[in-house]
Order: sequence, then structure tokens, then C-alpha cells
Amino acid sequence: MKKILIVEDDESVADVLQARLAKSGFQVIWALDAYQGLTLAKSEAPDLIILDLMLPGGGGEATLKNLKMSSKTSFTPVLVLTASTDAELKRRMLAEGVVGYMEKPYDGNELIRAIHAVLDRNNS
Amino acid sequence: MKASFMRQLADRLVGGRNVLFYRAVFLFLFLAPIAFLGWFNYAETSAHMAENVLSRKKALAFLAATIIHERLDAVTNFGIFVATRNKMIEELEKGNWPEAIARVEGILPQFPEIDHMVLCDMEGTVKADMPFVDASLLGQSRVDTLWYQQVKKNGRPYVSEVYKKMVEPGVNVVSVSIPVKAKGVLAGGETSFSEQDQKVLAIFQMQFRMDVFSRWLRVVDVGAGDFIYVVDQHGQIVYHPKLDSQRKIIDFSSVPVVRKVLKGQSGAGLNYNPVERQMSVAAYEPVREYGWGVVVTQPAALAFSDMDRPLRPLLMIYGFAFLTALVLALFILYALILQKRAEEEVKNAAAMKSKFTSMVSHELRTPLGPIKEGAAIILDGLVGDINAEQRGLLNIVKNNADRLHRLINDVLDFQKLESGRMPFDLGEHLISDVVREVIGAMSLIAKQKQLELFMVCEQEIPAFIFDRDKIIQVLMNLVSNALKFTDKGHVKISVCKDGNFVHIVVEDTGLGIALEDMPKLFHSFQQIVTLNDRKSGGTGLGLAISKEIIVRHAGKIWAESVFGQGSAFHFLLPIKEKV
Repeated sequence: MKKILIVEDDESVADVLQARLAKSGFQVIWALDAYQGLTLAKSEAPDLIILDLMLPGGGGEATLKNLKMSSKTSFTPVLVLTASTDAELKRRMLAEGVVGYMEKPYDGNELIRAIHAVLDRNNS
Repeated sequence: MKASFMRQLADRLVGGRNVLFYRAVFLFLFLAPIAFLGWFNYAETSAHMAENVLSRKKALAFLAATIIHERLDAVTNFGIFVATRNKMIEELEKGNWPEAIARVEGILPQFPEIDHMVLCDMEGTVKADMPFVDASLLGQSRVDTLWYQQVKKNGRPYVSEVYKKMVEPGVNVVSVSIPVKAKGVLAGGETSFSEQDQKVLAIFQMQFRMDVFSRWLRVVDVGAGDFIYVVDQHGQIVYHPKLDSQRKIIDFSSVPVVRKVLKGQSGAGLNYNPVERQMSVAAYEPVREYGWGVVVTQPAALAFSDMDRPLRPLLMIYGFAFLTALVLALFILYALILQKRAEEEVKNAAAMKSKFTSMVSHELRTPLGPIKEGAAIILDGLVGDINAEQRGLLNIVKNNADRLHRLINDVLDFQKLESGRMPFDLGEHLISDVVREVIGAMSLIAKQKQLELFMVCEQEIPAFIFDRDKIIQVLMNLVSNALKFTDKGHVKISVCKDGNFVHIVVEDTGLGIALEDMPKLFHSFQQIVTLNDRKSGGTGLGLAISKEIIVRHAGKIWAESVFGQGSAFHFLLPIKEKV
């Protein structure tokens, strides 16, 4: 079973995300903030991280940089899920090497398709 | 280019580094021409007037010098006339001195200027006088006097300097000395009048009191504060209205203008008077042949006191102009500052608005996610089966969440377009492909409403530059509106070339738009009342966004409609071949 780490401070967003992912056959762990996210990313070694960009205790951008710098997490694919519509931010994130960038509110089926695409690519 | 230069200039005046310097330069540039003109005009006028004053003084000096010259001539000529009288010469030839002077006694009452007459022999001894003063005078020697030496040397009449009268101490005189010559006798006994043949028998001298000169100069009208003084060949005062030359020998030879006039120079100018410690205007003119000089002088303050009068209006005019320019310049500065402040306020307000809008939309999108997704998870059957009624209600939730999502996106789009922060992705595309894509996307809805949706393209239009996604957004908006408000008939998209533009019309056979609604059609959040009765599902921003997009493409958008018969939305896009 593939393990997915959600870094998301909004509980209801995390809940529905978790419900969809669990029903789609993923093991889900959830971090409430950036610090927790980084810790779990290292200890749990998830197959994919879904990252919100607006987090308490340090922005999503800094978290992403941290993940990319650590040897344990630098190869873990990161998918950004954000309510921001800033085109510049999107460009920056893609340049940082995220595998996907989705704006909230998202389409659940689309998200699942994107996750499968990433994981399948990583397996082969 | 020019406007941006002016803009930069204005910005420099309003704030930033060295603002005080730029303001000073601005004020200087504004005021300098007037100040310069004023100064120039003032200097010109006052120089002209000073010249006037000086030339008037010069004329006075010349007049006075001419009078003195003419009078001295007259006196000398009179002396010569007296000295050539046969009766006197005859007596002198005989050595009868008292008789000789008695012969000219008659002229005294006629010429009151003559104070005293004296006859001297060629050894300088006084032989006779008239009127008779004192016996002791006779026999006195005048060898040391200048007049004796001059006449003895040159054998010509001589007008003396001022000197103290020997017989009357404390009284000064000027004398005119004339050589009295014997008639020359030629070999044949003829009388000769050639000078070398004439032997000088005696010196006839007339003495004049100093008050004579003031009488002579009385005819010269000097202005207030002006005065004339006359100096002799040694620079001693002959006549001075304020000094008593009658009793004192006053030496003016060190006065600069006197020195000049004794050198035979004439002229006028400003001089510093060391005695009175003030500047004075002086004109000077020599009395030719006699070596005397005339000076007309006046304190500068007095001489130029009148000058203020014609300069006063000048000062007033330029003063007023200067003040007006100053006020104008300050007003411009003030207006610029106010304008800048207003601009900043507008900018701040716009920034605040867009910040607020993006914040609000972000805050709205976040809770919208779980609502949509939650409903979607249930509708997708991921958490168990639901009955038809539950599905119906959940669909309402989902649809309204979608609608809210669209509204938020539209608000954000419109805000970005309005504030100019919307990025445009310009590229070369075929407009017919774009229209076809829109028809493809909308054909399902058209089919559901049993409407015809088709494109009419009269000619081939080459690819040109535009933002494909944005134009699709516009067309989707126009076509979905057309489909929404049309119940039967068709929706036609016609594309044709119109000069340098592509003209696109989305035409329907629907409800149409009331005339009074036309003006507010493209305004934000204007849903037409008559249409609003229907469940339109629109955000009220579609046309406003479309308009912004077309305007950003340097195009034009408008609508035509007959109420109840359908409407046509037109837009023009310029055919640009380069970005």
C-alpha cells in the first residue's frame, strides 16, 4: 500500500482529502504544520507528499526547499495543493521540482489520476 | 517622450533625493527671466538717466566757462583799448606818470567792476594809481609778482591768479595787466604798429574784486543743490558760492577735478568728495587761454534723487510681475504635490483593493474545497450508496459550490484585468480554430436545448497574434450567454475580415436586450433585470471581463439587439503579425 503524507493546516480540507485517498487505496498520514510535515517526511518515508503552501510555522515554499535539501526526502515526489492563484508562485514551484500543482478547490478524481500518474512513473 | 520628460521633471519637484535643489532650480528658472529683465531695464534706464544728469552738468560747466572766458576777453580788450590811448602814451613817453593815469580816470565810473588801477614802470616800480590810495604805495616794487614777470617776459596782457591786495590786506583781487607800448617809429618817421618795433613803456593794471565773478555767473541757472565754482591757473578759488574767496586764498589744487581741469581736460563723472564724505557728480570745463577752470558739482544723492520717479513705475511693474511669477511657481509646485499625493492615494487604494480581493477570494476558496470534495466523495459512491433524493440534494450542493467557484474566479480575473496584473500569453493562432473549439465545447448544451450552433466564415483569415485562452474565454462567455437566453432558433458565430481587424459576431434568435439595459451591459455585476428572472447561473462579470480582454487586445466590443428578436455581440480584434 502506497503511503501519502498530507501537509495541510485546514482540518476539513485534510479530512475530505484523507477520505478520498483512503477510499482510493492509499495509506494516509497527516501533518498539521511545516515542522510536523518535515519530521514525518523523514521518519515515515512516504511515497508522495501533498503540500499546502500556506502553513503556520513557516511557509510551504521553505518546507519544499527543506524537503529537497534533505537526502532522505529529496527524491520524494511533492504535489502542491494551494488556494493561491498566483501565476508567479506556480512558476517558482514548478522550477523547484514539484511533480504537480493543483489549485483549490480541486477535483477529487483529477487529483487521484495525477497521483497515480506520478506513482506509476516512479515505479517504472 | 516630451510628456515623460515633463513627468520626470514634475516627479523631481515633488519628492525624492535633492528635492530642495530641484525646487530651487525650478524657482530660479521661473523667476530668473523676470528678474533679469527687470534688472536690465532698471540698469538701462538708470544709466540713461545718469547720463542725462551728467550731460546737463556738462552743459552748465561749458556755459559757465564760456561766460568767464568771454568776460575775461572783454576785460582784456578793454584794458588794451585803454592802454593804447594816445593821450596816455604821450604822457608816459614824457615820464609824467600821474598825468598819464589821470587821462583814463574817466573810465572808472563807467566800469564799477574795476576796483583799482595802477601804472608800473618796466622795472616793476609802482608809479601811479587811481583812485589814489596812499603815497606810500608809490615807489613800491612789484618785481616779485607773477603778473609783472609774465608781462615783462611776454609783452602780452596777463590775467592773474587770485592774490592778496598789497595795499589793503585781507582783500583778494584778480588783476588784468596790459603792457603799454610806445608807438614804433620807422626810419622815415612813419608810425609802426608791428610788435617788435614797439617798446613797452609801462604796465597798466586793473584790479577786480572777487564779487565781480559771482555777478558774471549770476546768469547761469544752476539747479537745487548744484553749485559752480571757478579756479584760477593755480587751482585757487576765484569764485565759490559757499566759500569766501574775497578774504581767503583757498587752495583747491589737490581736488581731482581741479587737477583735471587745470590740465585742460573737460568732462563729467562721479567722484568721491573726501571733505564731505559723499559721492558727488561733477562736470568740469577749462577756461581756454586763461588757464582757469570751471566745476559744476552736486552731491550724488541729490543729483540722482529725481531718478527714482521714472524708475518707480518700472520697479512696481517688475515687482508685481516677479511676485506674480513667484506665486504662480509656488502654486504649480503646490498643485504638483497635491496631484502626486492624490495619485499615491489612488495607487494605495487600488493596491488595497486588489490585496483585499485576492485575500478574500483565497479565504473563500479554501472552505469551498471541502464542500465540493465532500459532496463529490458521496456522489462518487465512495462512502456507500445513497438514494435518489439524497443524490438530488447533494447535486444542488455541488452545483452551487461550482457556481460560487466560478464567481470567485471571475472576481479574481476581473480584478487582475482591471489592475493590469493579468498576464497575457500572446501567440500566433488561427481564429477559425479557436471558434471551432468553442463550438465543440458548447455543442452539447446547444444540442440539449435543440439549438443550432454554427460558424460562418466568408474568407480565409491568416494566423495572427492574440491570447488564445483569453479569446476562448470571451467566446465561451458570449456563446453560453446566447445559448442561455435563446429557446429556439440558432446561435451563429460569423467571422470576417474588416480592414486590419477581424470582426466576430455572436448572433442569437433569443430574447434580446431592452434598450434601457444596453448601456450597463458591459459593467461589472450588471445582470439585466429581465433576464435575471430566469435562473441564469451567471456571475454578472462575464461581459465586463470580456470587454477588458478585448480592450487589452486593442480591440472593441459592443452589442446590438432588438428586444424580443435576438441580440448580436460584436467584437473587433486587430490583426497583428508581430508581438
